[in-house]
Amino acid sequence: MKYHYLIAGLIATASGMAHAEVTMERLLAAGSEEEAGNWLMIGKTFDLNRFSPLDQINSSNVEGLRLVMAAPVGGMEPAGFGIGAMQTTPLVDDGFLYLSDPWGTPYKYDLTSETAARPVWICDTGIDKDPSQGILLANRGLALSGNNVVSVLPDGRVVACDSDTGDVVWDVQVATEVGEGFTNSPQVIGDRIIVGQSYGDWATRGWIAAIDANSGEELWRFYTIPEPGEPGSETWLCEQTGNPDCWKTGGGAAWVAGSYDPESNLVFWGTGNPVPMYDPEYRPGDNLYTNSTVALDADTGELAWYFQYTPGDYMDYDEVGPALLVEANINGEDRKVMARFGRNGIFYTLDRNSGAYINSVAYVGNLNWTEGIDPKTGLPIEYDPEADLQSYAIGRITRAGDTATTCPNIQGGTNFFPTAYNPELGLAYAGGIEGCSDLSVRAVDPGDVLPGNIFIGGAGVNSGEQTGSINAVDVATNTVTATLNTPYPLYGGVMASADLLWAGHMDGTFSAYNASTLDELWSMNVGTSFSAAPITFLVNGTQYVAITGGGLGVGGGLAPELSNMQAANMLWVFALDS
Amino acid sequence: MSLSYATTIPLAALTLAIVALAALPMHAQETDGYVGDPERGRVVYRSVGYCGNCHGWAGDGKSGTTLQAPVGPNLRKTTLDTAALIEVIGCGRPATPMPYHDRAAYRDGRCFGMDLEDFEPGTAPMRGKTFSDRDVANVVAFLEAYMIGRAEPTYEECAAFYDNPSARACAGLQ
Ligand code: HEC
Repeated sequence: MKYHYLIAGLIATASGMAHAEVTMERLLAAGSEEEAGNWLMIGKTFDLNRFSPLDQINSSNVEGLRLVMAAPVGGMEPAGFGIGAMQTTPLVDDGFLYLSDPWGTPYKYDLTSETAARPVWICDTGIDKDPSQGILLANRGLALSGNNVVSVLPDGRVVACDSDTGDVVWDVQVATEVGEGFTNSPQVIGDRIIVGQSYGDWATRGWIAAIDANSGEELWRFYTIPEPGEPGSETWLCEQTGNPDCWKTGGGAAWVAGSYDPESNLVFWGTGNPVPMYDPEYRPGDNLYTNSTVALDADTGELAWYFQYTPGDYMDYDEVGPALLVEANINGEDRKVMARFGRNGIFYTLDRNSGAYINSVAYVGNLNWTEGIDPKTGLPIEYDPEADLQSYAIGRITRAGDTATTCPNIQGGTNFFPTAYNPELGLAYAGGIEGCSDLSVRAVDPGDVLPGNIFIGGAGVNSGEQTGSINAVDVATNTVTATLNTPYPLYGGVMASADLLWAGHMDGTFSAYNASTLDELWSMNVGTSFSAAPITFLVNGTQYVAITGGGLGVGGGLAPELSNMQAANMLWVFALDS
Repeated sequence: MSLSYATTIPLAALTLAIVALAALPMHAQETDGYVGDPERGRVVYRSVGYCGNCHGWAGDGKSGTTLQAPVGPNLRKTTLDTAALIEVIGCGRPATPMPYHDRAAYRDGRCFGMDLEDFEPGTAPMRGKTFSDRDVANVVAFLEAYMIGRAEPTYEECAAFYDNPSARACAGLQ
């Protein structure tokens, strides 16, 4: 018996355990030459640039790309809104690939044979796949921390699995209130893990918290909705409504993981819409810190600055989409910039140390909710600081029956979709939706609001046909330099590598584009809908590109003509014809 | 009697059906002698037709899960009788999000004597899940036994609906 154990141990050492622990030093160096073959964090690097310098695959040879490995992934069990969406960005360390399914279950695949993606383990988190819970099921990726693979779950737990064995190392119930849970990914910063409560539209109050990477113990928590008396609480005029508690279900969910600047030790997270999204009369005021970027001290959770994009929103313009950290020479000055594609259709640059507004440019083809952005404040020009209820260019929607049509679509512009930045070209990229939504209010009595039940206070339905686009924005000059219009909404992420841009489409097409012109250079339709972002990495010195595909998810509602596409959660891996 | 919604049903057949219905318990539904089973109807409502996506599990029009359409009306307060329920579930409501479920709807004239191509663009009824005649009767039996006329939904009803006392959908009611 002992002998067998010894052999098993030796084999484990030779195959699974050879790669190094994922330390903070490695994460800080994730963009370096040594780590070029790995993809250690969902954004590749802390700045969420999703840029790989690998150039074996480039514009001169990408037409020779082919599918070389594929593997099915589980997690197809539905929740109340149906089968979950496959939104996970895989991670790769030394030829081993990690991904999560829509229930947050982590998987490890061995790609080192270069002929098959062989499952090594599935970490059993013990999740109750209760079909009754009326939630949108999704998981946007894992994090590597030391020898652990960390996942956040829809039931509000954070679970660490041993990266060699897939056994649960610790498991902590971080979100404890009814309706709370996670759909995003954890953000590992040294010995802490930052997580964000994701279910704002389910009548909850948003927060971002740090937990200890070794024990899961909570270290700090920042509520995205201040309680009465705290700074920002004056922007919740709940008393006026006869329901002084309206802030308690105010939303502001932090449902996409943020970026991190080691120099300032700030994390930059985005927050979701105020709740209920279509009925501002339920929650008058600007509703801080919804629809904002919040910059928090990674050690203390203290708010360094915030920037609210659409105050007093009624168009569902969450601003959770990734904050790209870039360096750009703007008006002759080298600046440390936070660059973001807003769900509201506008691309923004801010000073990442102060939050001061620098510039903005509309990137969607049709934007009607505002006449423009005030060049001093960065706020929509219709914004009235004195008003309890904002009235943007499309007019108000009211309980009395006023309706409006807003462009872009309530789902954006972009959304949670991973964006990218190519530092060599100075271009930021995002995919998104081109179209409009019809908005109406349906008042809900506070007594009928149940945490855990979706609470939207009206409806936002497609106004006509919805299509999509990918846009490239030159950060330094604040101009859209290339636009690719797509027949369906682009409902997933992009990735930049060398002189290429990559994107998966809703209809199952995976494509590579010229990074400057967005001309298509290669594509293949594999039949699974894409709502995730691709990655690229090396196995035994050869460059691969991987992406996960699955069902249409909530994005499917934007393209009814695709409704017969079935869900199948898959990992796809591509390489050049050798 | 078959589940026919055409206005051409002979009066005698209708009268016969009403007599047959009157002899049964209030919630029962009848097709070729078939009596609707409210327990099966609960399953049809929950996980065959996904009616709760628009009407809420409780049918109260408050807790739906569709983001593409406004929430459906409160079925607890409907004034429709059995025949009208069969019709609206079988044929849907043209030009509204309420879908049809009868497998032959708008094909053999049973729904208002119309075919799908008779509708102007944008006014055609939506297609829902396809039910057998028996399941239309079953879901109507469920509505009549457990939903119509009921007051505010309770935790007990929710747990029974999901057949799971720890269903997360019911947590807010406890
Ligand atoms: C896509 C959303 C949707 C689905 C799914 C749906 N309904 Fe409806 N339903 C509606 C809407 C909207 C109405 C109101 C139509 C109108 O404006 O007249 C409605 C109306 C009804 C009515 C008529 C109520 C009245 O008093 O007039 C009944 C009964 C009903 N639905 C039952 C069901 C049942 C049972 C199911 C499942 C088999 C179901 N519905 C599935 C949206 C839906």
